[in-house]
Amino acid sequence: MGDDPVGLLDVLLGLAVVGVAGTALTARRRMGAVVSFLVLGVLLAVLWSRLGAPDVALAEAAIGTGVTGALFVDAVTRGPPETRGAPAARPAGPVPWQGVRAALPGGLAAVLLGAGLGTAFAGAVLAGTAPGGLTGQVLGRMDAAGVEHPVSAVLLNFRSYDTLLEVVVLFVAVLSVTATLGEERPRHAPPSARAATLVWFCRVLAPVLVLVAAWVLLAGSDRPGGAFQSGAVLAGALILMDTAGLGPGPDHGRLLRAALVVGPAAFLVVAAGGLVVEGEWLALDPAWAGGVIVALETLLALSIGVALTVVFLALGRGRVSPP
Amino acid sequence: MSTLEWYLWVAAALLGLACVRLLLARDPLVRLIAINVAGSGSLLVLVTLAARTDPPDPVPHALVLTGIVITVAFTGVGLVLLRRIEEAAEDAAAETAGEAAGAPGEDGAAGNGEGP
Repeated sequence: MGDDPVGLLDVLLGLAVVGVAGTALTARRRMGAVVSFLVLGVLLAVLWSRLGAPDVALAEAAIGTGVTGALFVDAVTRGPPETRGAPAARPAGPVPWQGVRAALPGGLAAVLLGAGLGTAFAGAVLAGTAPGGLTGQVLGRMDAAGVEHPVSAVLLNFRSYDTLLEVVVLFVAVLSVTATLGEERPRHAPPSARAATLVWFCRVLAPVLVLVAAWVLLAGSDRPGGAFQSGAVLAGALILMDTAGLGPGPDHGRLLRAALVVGPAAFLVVAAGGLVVEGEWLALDPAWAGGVIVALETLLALSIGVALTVVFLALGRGRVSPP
Repeated sequence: MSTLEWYLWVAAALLGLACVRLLLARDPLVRLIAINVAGSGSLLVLVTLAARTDPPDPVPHALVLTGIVITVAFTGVGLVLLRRIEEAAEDAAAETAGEAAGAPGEDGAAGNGEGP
């Protein structure tokens, strides 16, 4: 679709994305901003698949919209009551978006910045120094990748260093979040007050979601899917179970910690194994790369799912009391 | 205008709007949303540039997947910190209102002992 003239669908999709982003950024209420942001995520998922990136669309739908949405909505509903329904700007004093006159410099700056960036981006495409990108190099080495899907091959074989560091970033995020954890605050209504329909629904849905997560994981070797999308589905299942009071509780701390560590630890083992067997960090022998990648992805999906869940659960916990 | 150019302009609009809002907003939650939207804009640039070839370039797609996970990681940390800041403000307000603030927990032992 590279040089085709822009079609009606693309124009509408682009306008919708910019419009919804504008709504999310200028909403007067926190909840309005969050809901617009979630709509933006759905539109972006459509946009990614339109641009031939189904992996990114899956990740956007599961992580960018699903997990981020749960985080944002939880944060807003737990926030101070006056910010839920009231205008988003809490502190007293002049707020830039309260008057058209005050909003003008900001709007002008946004237009100028956007115009400058747009000109630069369009120029970059027209210059077309390397329109082939790295497609040829990746596709030419697919026989040594161990998996048939190019994006999975890049993520877990050709550029697995990036993925290793990405998993570590997620791990660091969990560490910094748990560092602020204090005593448990009442999260939900007591079990007796929970709607029986919700509990029943979650009991039925949770195994189905785990099955979906496993399918997405294994699909990643020859079609769009993989550890991160699968982990996000797993996190969705755990978060849903938590709303029904069936999620991980304080007794599961040891289990959750083990699940958190197993992914990064397995990745480090694979990295060191490459050094021992192949003489290079993270190198994989094409003969058994496929098996190693699938095994590693399974452990990574578990760690990613638990990491995202722990960040969500931390929102509902009290802070550490000052000494 | 080609489809790719159009989407690059959309990305530029997202980046421009979100960066300015990021600098002007007072509410930390709106700032988090703005930095998320700006992130989406930069991901859109990468995906659009990957679509120049057929089939699309898998390397930018992998980078975008990484970017999405990093985004959710820092958003989660930001929201938890925001929550803690607001809890501290609520507690301070409760104390100045003359209410008994109660015993300040068990020195955070619950957080260390029970795990996440």
